[in-house]
Amino acid sequence: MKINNTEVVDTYAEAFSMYSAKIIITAENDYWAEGAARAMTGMATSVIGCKCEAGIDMKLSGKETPDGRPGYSILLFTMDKESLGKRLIERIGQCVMTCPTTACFSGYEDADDTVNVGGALRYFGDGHQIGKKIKGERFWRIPVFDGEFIIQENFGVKKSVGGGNFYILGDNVSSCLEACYDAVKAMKRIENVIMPFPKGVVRSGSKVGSKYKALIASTNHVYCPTIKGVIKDSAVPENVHTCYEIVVDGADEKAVADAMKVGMHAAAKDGVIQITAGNFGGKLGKYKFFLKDLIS
Amino acid sequence: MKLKLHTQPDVPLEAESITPAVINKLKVKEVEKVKVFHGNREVNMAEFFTVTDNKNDLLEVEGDMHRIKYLGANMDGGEMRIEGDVGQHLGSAMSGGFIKVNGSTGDWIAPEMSGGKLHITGNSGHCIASAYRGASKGVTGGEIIIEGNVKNELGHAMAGATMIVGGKCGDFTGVNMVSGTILAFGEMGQRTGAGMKRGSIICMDDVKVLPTFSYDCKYSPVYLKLLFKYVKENTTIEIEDKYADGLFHRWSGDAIEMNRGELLVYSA
Repeated sequence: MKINNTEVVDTYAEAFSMYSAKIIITAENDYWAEGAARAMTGMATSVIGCKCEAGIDMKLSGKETPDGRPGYSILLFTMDKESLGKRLIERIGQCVMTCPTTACFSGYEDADDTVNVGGALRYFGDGHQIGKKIKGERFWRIPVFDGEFIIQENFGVKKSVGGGNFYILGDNVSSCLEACYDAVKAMKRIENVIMPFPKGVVRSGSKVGSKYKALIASTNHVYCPTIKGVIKDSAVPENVHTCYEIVVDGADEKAVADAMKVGMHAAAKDGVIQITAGNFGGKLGKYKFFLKDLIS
Repeated sequence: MKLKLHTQPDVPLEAESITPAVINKLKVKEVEKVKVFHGNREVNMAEFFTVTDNKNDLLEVEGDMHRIKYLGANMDGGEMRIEGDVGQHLGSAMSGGFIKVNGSTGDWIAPEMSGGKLHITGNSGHCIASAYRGASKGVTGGEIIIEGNVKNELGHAMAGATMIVGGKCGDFTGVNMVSGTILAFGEMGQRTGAGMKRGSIICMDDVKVLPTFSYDCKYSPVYLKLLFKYVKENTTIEIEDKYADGLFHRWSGDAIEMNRGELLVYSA
């Protein structure tokens, strides 16, 4: 299989069932909304070491937010619902409530369930907080230095898909990064997905387990070009000298599939020799995204 | 089902039985025999209303019903649409459902309401959503929208509901308020929020603030942007853009009570 001159390996990306929440952050202007959004999604690349995966989904105009101010939608993923609630309380409390002029709302309209976030953060008000209901939804007004921090009590959560991925294998770092840049740019146009790693790209893709018993994950050595000559199971083709991975988490299976599809097409350009995907032989993840189905 | 008033009662007609739960499960002939009180005399519905089947779950009531009391009393669900003015005690003790009045209402609307929604496109009288004399709490939930004016004692001792008034309010708005929200777009009468414990009274017009309220600050509450958006989407009340983006004076009170209530007054 090929896209342009790039070979697409007949394999699949193995993805996992996760829980996600969509968070709408608004502020007086884009500067502060972006500040809160970037802080909240910081150090949230992988559940392995960050307890959650998070990223900016979309930039929103005032017409698209509950309070008519500019904002951002964020997606945050964890492996279970309980930890999702904990991460939301931590991150909204430390990164959004602290940021001047912000407010924070639940973004999913088709949530499976809810977690109580505002109801926990309200105690920061030390008894001066005020609860208000609008259209059956409760909001908390917590007094802060520039007025009030408004936060919705319940945030919608839903079962989602994490760990969709594809690998970009190329001749050199420059051409591979250019392909990654174009792929991530295209994928960002798809709603309800995030690419949680720095600028959407991973260079230290991991495998499950390690020769060191204390580690639950270690470098996915088969895609490391520098040891191609000394390992027996290298997956790096002869003419490939650089590999990158793009990981995508989505609100549902379709969002992940759509993002992978546009990402692979955008990445398939000169200097990209092969596109493949990571899996665990189907033993770990609930979802399989076959590359041949996505590019057809 | 549709009920149309054909005879104006000489004395008030108490029609607690006119609710979707009572009427919609019956056939036309059965509805005609439902009892209402004409003064102290029990009579059949048919003596005053023409009953027709509108083939849907919406209960429609039509006519000049300023002498009809207790429409929608104890309502806990369903939808009732009233075309014309109605008398006192509309939605008394209602706990759910939706009543829309395309007209005006008398006094004492929605006493003891705990849920549901009332939307009145015209004016309303005194003591809307107020506690009965001697009661420590009035309405405990639900939402009341009055697009026109109201008279005195709106939300007396209310504890948890939301009230939106498009026009003027009389004296003692939110008197002894326990909690909840009153949003008023027109002129305010005297002694707004007197004796309030908690809750919010939000006014677009000037308020002569009682001396037992303390001034806090001037700011632009984000909460009001949510509330104004809701009002815009659900009523025909015109909200000038300056309110959503404007500054409000915040006063805390009433110091003769818990001092935990707030008055938000638009400051331009």
